[in-house]
Amino acid sequence: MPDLIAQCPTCGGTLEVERMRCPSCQITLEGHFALGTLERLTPAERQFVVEFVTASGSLKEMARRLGVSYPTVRNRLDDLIFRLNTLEKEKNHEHPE
Amino acid sequence: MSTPSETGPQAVQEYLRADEPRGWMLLLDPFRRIEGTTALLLGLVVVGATVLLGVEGRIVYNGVADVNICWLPEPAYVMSLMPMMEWLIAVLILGLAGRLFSRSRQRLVDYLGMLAVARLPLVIMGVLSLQPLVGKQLLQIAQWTLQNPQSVNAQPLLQFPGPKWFAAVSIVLAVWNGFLTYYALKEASGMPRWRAILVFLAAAYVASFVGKLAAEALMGVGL
Repeated sequence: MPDLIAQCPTCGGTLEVERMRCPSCQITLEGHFALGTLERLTPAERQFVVEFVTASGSLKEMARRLGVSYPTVRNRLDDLIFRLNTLEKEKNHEHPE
Repeated sequence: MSTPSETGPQAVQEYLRADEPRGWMLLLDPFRRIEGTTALLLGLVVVGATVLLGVEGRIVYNGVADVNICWLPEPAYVMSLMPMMEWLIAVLILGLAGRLFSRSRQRLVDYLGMLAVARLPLVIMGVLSLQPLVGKQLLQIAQWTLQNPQSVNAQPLLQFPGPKWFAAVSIVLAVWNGFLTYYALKEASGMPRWRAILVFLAAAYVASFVGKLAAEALMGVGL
């Protein structure tokens, strides 16, 4: 099963989920479902978050596991923090409570 | 819509490596490969070389990015302390600037190691200044200038061919040292490019000033 994509491959806009199905009871739900902040990340960015959490937030451990340098991991983490903050703002703007 | 390389640790590796410098850029920014303890060990070799050049070759590192030949009879401990002091002043001031202007996670070991490695061009400059390469001619120029105090322009440079190419090489090495120091600060602090450039210019100026004052104070003690 392919990973969920968050951005429209044609225009780059944020996609919405319109239909969901339960594979167990086959119930299908239709409507407008907003993607969560993490789902809006690219697959590589989501995997970065997974690696970060499973390394207990240790950038040194993450760098060792992935065979890259500490500054490389740290810079990407900074990029991701900025991106998550932007996505949070966008999400709040699209769906104000 | 998804290929196998878009998920899993391989995807993260590709995602991370896309941001790393490649090719000739590694000459200016080697600090994604040389960091942490590796940078510190290599840096200690570089600082050790500056100490050796100071004691044995009378090369004086009297500033954060200054290399001169010492004509004064400074004792060996002054010549060995000075390059270490200048390196630590750079670490202190650029490190403080990094702490003040960056919210990223930072490690002292990166500042110590990267800023020491960034002094490699100064070591090359010191080696080139050694006699009989250029030092002898620089000594002749100094003597000539002392004997002819009214003619202190660039005339001696025209008489001695060695210092001309040395001056050209020194400019290249000084520029290289500047880039290495900038990238050392950028990678150690995690600052974005434009902020890193501005902070580097200000911090390098302050570090040079403090370095000169400290060198003069140390040489004063030595004399």
